[in-house]
Amino acid sequence: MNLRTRTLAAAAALTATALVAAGCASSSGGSTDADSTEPIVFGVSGPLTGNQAEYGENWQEGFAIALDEINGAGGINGREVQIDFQDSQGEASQATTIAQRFVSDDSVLAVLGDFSSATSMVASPIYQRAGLLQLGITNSHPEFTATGDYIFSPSVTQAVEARVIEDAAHEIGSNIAVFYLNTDWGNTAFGVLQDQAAANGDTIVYSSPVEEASTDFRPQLVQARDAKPDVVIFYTYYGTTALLVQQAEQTGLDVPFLAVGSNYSAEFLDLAQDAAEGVYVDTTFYPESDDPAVESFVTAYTDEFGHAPNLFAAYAYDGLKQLAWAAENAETLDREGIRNALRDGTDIPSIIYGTATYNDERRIDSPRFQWLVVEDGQFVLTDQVG
Amino acid sequence: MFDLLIAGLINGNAYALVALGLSLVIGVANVVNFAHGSLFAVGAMVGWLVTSSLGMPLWLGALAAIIVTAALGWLINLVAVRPFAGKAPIAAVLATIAVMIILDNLTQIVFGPEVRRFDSGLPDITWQIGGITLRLIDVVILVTSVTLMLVLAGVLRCSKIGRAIRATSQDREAAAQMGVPVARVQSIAFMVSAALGGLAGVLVAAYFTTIAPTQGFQIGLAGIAAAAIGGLGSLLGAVIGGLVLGVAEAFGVGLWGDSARQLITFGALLLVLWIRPEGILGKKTVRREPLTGTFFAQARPVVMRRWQIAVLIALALIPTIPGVFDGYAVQIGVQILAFAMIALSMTVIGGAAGQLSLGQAGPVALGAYAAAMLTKDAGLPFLVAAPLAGLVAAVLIALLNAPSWKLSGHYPAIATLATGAAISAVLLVATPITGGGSGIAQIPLPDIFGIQISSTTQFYALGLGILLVLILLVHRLGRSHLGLTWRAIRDDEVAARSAGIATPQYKSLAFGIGGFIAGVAGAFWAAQFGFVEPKIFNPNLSFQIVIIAVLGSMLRPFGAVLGSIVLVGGLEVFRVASETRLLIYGVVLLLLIWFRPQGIWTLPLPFARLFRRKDAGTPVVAEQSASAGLVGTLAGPGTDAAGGEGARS
Repeated sequence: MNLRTRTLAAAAALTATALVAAGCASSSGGSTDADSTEPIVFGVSGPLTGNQAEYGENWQEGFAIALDEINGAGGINGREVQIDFQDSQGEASQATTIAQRFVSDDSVLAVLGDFSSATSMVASPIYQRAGLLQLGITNSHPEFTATGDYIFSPSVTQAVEARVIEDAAHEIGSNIAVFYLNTDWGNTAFGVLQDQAAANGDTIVYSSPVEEASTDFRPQLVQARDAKPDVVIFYTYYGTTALLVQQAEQTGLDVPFLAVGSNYSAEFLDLAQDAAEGVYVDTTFYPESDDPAVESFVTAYTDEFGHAPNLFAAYAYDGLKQLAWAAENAETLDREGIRNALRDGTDIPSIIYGTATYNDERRIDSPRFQWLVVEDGQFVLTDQVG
Repeated sequence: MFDLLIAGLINGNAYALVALGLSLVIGVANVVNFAHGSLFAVGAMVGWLVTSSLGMPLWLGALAAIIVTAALGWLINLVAVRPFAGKAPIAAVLATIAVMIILDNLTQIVFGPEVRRFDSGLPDITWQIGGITLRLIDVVILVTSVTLMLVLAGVLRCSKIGRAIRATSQDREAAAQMGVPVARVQSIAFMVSAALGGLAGVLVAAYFTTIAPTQGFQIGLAGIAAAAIGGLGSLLGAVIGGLVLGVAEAFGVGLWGDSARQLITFGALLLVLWIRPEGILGKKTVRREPLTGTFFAQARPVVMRRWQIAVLIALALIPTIPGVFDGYAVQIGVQILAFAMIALSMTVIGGAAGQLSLGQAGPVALGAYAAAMLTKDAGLPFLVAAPLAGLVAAVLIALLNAPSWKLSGHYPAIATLATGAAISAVLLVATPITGGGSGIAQIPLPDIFGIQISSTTQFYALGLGILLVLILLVHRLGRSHLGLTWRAIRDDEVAARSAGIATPQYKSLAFGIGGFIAGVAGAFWAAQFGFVEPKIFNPNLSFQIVIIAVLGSMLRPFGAVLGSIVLVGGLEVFRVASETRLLIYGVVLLLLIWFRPQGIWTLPLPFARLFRRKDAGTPVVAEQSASAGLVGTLAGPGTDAAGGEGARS
């Protein structure tokens, strides 16, 4: 064997090993027999690294509390519940690879995620084709569940929430400025806001898409200030909103601010500090609620992590609990059985909605909104916006 | 207007600090340190730990950040720059990218990825200037950076070490001969530069009041843009470049919104390079380009026989048999094919013509978007749309790169980086056509002769087919007269030009054909995911492409395939180690650059020599005589200034 063939053989061996190794990684399928003692596994596709990593961390914390609760109570029919959290970096290309991995792994009975609608929707056809339930816990894109009858989302769609926010802005004044994230989520919401503003007879005097990676918004805020709005809407995640409200203060933009529900988080208060005062946030989940299920979640979460849960953590907790509920109530404990249980179930326990029932579009019917305002570094319930 | 100017100057001040450190290292070591943005993030996080977490004063946080980042700067020089002195600069470029990956992921693991509050602890004093409120921290930053720049200028001008630094960046060889310990000077320059980056991190974090470990990458790129605008290696230029960029961004973003930021950053950079190729204050010097010189001469590609190629193709066909591998393994196969196609474009640009592209994500994006629109809106079948997408990418990329041919040294590579980033920025801004940040979804599945490609196995088969056709194209080109001309340019551009070869036109052609291949790869990408958005095609993807191409070897098409198998497939193997996955990747990368800088699919020099004696007339000799035949026996690849390294240290 001369050197040339040896190198070639090595390369061929390397190719083969890489492919075999890739194949082996997922071929250990678990059994789904009824009297099995194998753990019940749910896949999670979410960002643990990259720009959205911290929202993935919110999820992990929410899941941890749910797992403690479920397994602390003896699991499902004596079987332990586990999650297989795969890091998608929030990227579409990774989400499809992960989807293939879960689909090929027989032990995975349902999947949660991904974080952003755009990333989730790329993976949805793979889940749909394989008949594996994808529960998009934070996927608010109106078209998200349209891919097929295995795609569910407990999240409120932007079509609903953006309208609620515009209506609230209309109560304050008719000249509105909007900052929205330049993602599918933000763009879709902005479209809804525009339609609703037209319907209510309001004028959008200034609007700017913002990037998740940006930190300096003074130039746009100066322009917004000069457009003299009565109210500003922030359709951004809390990391960006915190920067916006602080820099708004420095540029002298001094009108009421409405922020979308994802800003309802301790992190927002911590990051924005004094600048958060007086900001209005809409929400479906309210941890001060006297619902015992909510109280027990918030207490367990705060004890474990030293801070209150945000909306993303609540959605993660709620989503996993819903899957556990479906597994418990499934006629057959397999992928189809879990889907059927979630589809046909009524009044599924939920800490966000009280009880949840999925409609024909695999969404939650008419969610209830409440408005919160930041006062003395706390979110407090308010009836009056503006 | 006045408000925008103030906002721009404050932000530009931060860029200036980052660019200053970059330019210092470029002057002394002739290396663009891509890990500089990571040092910024490390500095910010250390500063956060000391001030916000431990409650110490701001100056102590800044001091801690300076010490930690200076130590890291020394380490970066030791592991990623010095080992490659005297070798092709591309090795150091890749090594600093590897360090960037390692540092970014390490910072995330150590500190956690979340955005956090940075409390400067300064009293709440404010002033009104126009409509803008100036805070104490703004003034502190301004005063600190101006003081720093003055002190740095003073040290460089008057002190002994300053004179040594200036002498080294002026003429490294001469400085070494005059007794300047150039190796030690380089170490010191790296430490000072890193400390500047770390300090900038603390100051900028205090300025924005929030910080996340992921913010380093963006500001690192902006720093490179600012340094190039000012003129690489010029310190005053770095400051001016930073301020110019900050003000341009403020006005651009104020007028056209946040999404235009990246376009302004890299558009401004391209404009400056086109009008004034050496930057605002740079000197006209001829420096080595990253891929020139002894880089390829030291390696000898592995040559395969027909039956060996047949065996490989047969192996590659196995996943198309249903049921042999599960869907996950085949999906990774599809990813490997996609990246192999993209890396193949570098075989033409780098391996054949000796050019470095740090923006290859650009033509991939053009191809992906063109194919998405052609199949979705115009309803063309995939087999028609894919070559058209390739053509679109080829023409646009050749046009966009054309003004860059008068550049030399690091500038051509930086210009390609800017072009790549600017393309994804244009896609982000041109919302009516491209969907902006939402991208284009629901791209139709390809229809090949009446068969709708929908399963992973079918996509694998399609990808393999496209890859084989492209490989054949590259192989044929390499053996043509055109390929011969490219090799002459690659091995000695000056000699090639004096032999009458119109080098700019030939370089453009290489970028065009590379763009075609990348565009076709982009079309495959778009069809396979069914979704494209500008963020996918960011500079990180460009870096990944360079890494795959160089480490696989750019001399033979199979190098691109092998690089993709090892680096894309390998990354999946590490998936078990979820959070440390990218960290391991970075370390493996660094080791590969250390031990196999010319690529895996090559024989190291000693082996190659051994071979040549036994077996004269192998393609390597043929290749060398090819260029020799064209340009005559001119002197071999010029020795670099860094060759004198260590003579005195």
